[in-house]
Amino acid sequence: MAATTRNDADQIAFENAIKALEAQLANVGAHLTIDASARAAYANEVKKMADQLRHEAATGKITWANAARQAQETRNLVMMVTRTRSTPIGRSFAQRIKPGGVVLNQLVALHTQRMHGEGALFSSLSSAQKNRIYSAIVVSAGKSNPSVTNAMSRLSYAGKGVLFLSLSLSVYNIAIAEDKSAATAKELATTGASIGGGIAGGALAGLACGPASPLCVTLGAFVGGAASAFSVGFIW
Amino acid sequence: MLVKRLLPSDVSLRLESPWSETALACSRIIADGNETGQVVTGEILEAAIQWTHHRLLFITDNIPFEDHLRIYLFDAEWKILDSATLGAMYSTGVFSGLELQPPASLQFKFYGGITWSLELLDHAVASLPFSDPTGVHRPFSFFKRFKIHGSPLPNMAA
Repeated sequence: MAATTRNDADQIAFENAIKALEAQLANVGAHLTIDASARAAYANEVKKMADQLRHEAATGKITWANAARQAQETRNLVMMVTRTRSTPIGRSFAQRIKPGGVVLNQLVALHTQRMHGEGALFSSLSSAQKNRIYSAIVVSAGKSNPSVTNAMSRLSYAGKGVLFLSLSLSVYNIAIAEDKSAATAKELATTGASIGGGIAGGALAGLACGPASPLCVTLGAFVGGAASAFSVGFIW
Repeated sequence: MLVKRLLPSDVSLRLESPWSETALACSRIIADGNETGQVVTGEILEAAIQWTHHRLLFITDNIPFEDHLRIYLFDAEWKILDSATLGAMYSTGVFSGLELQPPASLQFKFYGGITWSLELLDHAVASLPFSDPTGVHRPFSFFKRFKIHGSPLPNMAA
């Protein structure tokens, strides 16, 4: 009798572990999809911003100098907002390395050199030449790195594929269950817990190891997702 | 022979295909006014170095808010012997502070808040893939013709 009870408990624990692993698919898929969507939004936003400023400067609503200043400031703002819209894992990868930091004066000097040769001084240029440099800065602010965007787009497909697999497993589990409404509720709770636990686990790991620790944050997201899904399955 | 900086009249780039939303700019390498037949990813030639009969080029993508630095080592026939890229998502760098350290090393700044050093190697040395410092990316290979050293700082401000 005691052996039978222990076998039942073992089976429940095993099934919960399998369920937690299944739910991890949703966790991985959600992370990939969120970060890829944030990247796509970033590439769109910076381009839209640069196009808008270029239009305003070209139609005389603002000066080219103002357009360049706004482009530089807005670009940095968009970057910060995008990071907050990423998952803790995506954010930790972005924070891994201190950027070179581009201030407006540096951009002006850079474009002056490239357009007028080494040793050229911005202050000695004509107004038209200065405006061309400001215009080049506005255009460059609308550029994002396509190799990064393309890589994230591929990850987006992978993320959607994994989410689809997770959804298919949930549908299968519900289809073979005797009590379909209870099974549906359990699937929803486990999958939701895995995604929420993954995000929370990544954020907690970021606090513990520092935000710029992608390996630690990824591990935290995995453990958080698995533990949450396992707990929900166990309590249910 | 020691490392020596080349002039824009020695080596330059001619834009082959411009940046687009889906593809990086590519440039044709011109040496001594002649076509080399070599086209590489990147747009701005930041520096060109001569070392023995090799050339080392530092090229950026001209995406000032998300720039990558591409380092190519060529043999005398402009065949790529080794290459590496420094760059990261939502990050950027500015190439500066190039300092030659004869006979076969140099230093530069790009991102990470540090000075990176590059060591040219006489011959290919065995090396594990993904063994470069954080922020340095290379094509998958078990050999290297140059090594990059540096421990970039994280971006704690973000």
